[in-house]
Amino acid sequence: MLGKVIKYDMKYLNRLLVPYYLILIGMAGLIRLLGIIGEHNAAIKVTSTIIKVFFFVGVALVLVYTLVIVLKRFYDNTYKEEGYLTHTLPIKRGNVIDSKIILSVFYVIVGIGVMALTLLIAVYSTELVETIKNILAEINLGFNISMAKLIIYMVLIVFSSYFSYLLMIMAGMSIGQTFNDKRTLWSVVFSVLIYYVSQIISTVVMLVFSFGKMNMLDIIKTGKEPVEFVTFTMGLSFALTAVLLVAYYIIAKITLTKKLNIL
Amino acid sequence: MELLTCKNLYKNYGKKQVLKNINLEIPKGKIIGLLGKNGSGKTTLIKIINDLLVPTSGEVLVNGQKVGVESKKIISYLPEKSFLDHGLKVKEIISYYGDFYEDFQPNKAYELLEKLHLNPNEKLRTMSKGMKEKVQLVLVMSRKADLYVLDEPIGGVDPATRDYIMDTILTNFNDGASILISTHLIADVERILDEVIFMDEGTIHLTASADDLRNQYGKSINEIFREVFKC
Repeated sequence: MLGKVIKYDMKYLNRLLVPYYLILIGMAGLIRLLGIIGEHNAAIKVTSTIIKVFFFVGVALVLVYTLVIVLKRFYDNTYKEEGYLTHTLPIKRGNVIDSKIILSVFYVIVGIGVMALTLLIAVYSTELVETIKNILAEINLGFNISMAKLIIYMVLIVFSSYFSYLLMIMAGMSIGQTFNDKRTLWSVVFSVLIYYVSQIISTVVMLVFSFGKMNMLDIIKTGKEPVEFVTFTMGLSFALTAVLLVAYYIIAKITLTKKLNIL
Repeated sequence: MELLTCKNLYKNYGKKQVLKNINLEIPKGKIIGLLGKNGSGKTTLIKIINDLLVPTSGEVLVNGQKVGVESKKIISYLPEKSFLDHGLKVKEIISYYGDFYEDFQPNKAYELLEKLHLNPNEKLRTMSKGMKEKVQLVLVMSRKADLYVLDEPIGGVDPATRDYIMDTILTNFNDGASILISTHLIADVERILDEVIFMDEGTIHLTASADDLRNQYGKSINEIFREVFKC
């Protein structure tokens, strides 16, 4: 049954995400076109600049928009009127959450793909590629980190940030919806509360483990953060995020399964 | 074994007790009216039966099993609210029902839509409230369920349409199945009822056969209800 839940969640998400992707691709094409035909035309250059502003904001918000739409689907489908149907389908209640998580993995990958594609269409040039190569080479030298490792880190940062917010808000929403009054307010309160509790836990764990491992005096004296320290801190940060993600997931799932309160 | 059993059911919203010690048995093959004033606890009881609310204490058994995936396979539920995704076309919603409910009969749904002059290619968003309610009724009655739970199915429609809806329910439910129909518009439903349950302030005030009640009081169910719950 999970497959069927995914199928209909996907239909909903496609309805709202695909037009956004297409608009970005269209804008990217337009920027490239205006760049070719309007090299010496002031009016076209102004138009192109305005489009570029909207385009870059749009590209920067791809994953934020994806997160908002997935959460909207979760809220509408689970706690609003549609919940009357969702929760009377012969499916395990946890499928409702699992489907959104699985689809999020897919849409984050698609989102990153769309960002890369549209940027490529809009601003690709050999000079730009050279500049990026130089920046990466400098990072490589400074941190002694391979390109592959750097990409893996970046992808992990994107995924861990996205899923932290997704599951944190899902957990907060699930708790907030168990109240009989002011359920939206309670959902926000619990999401914020979970966020701050997570921050406190993260800070304490990072302080205890990181400072315990490295001699801070050396770091302060030399004025440099040793590569080993950065690598260790990042690894610890990812491990901690993974633990917190599991905790958010369990909170959301148990609350939805055991404490459903559709009013 | 009874089709549906409620045992010592309580539900509190904070300090407010909305269901108090509900004990109820619904047999197979009966049409039962769950009758009560607004706020008497009918919808809360129905939501618990459909696993949309967790009771404070007590339990609900469907065919001897706790409510869950198995009970949802045999209960066809019509909520009083508009519960469909308004961005979908009627035919897409029919596919949706067909995908999730093994007992759903798409052909029957299309037949009923035609009878009710509803266009399967129309999006719900563009339909009137009455049309949406009819679509919901079509979906619920196109299932070959063991128990149909209908919460205020005629609450939002004009008197002329009420009879039409009642006839649709009567002529389309699965043979041998039971119907639990909740309403405060008793006069419109009493002709079809086998049994009645009167609810008041979260308790079951009376459970009886509709005919026995009429014979005992020499009045219609509607008149008895008005007399019992006179303000």
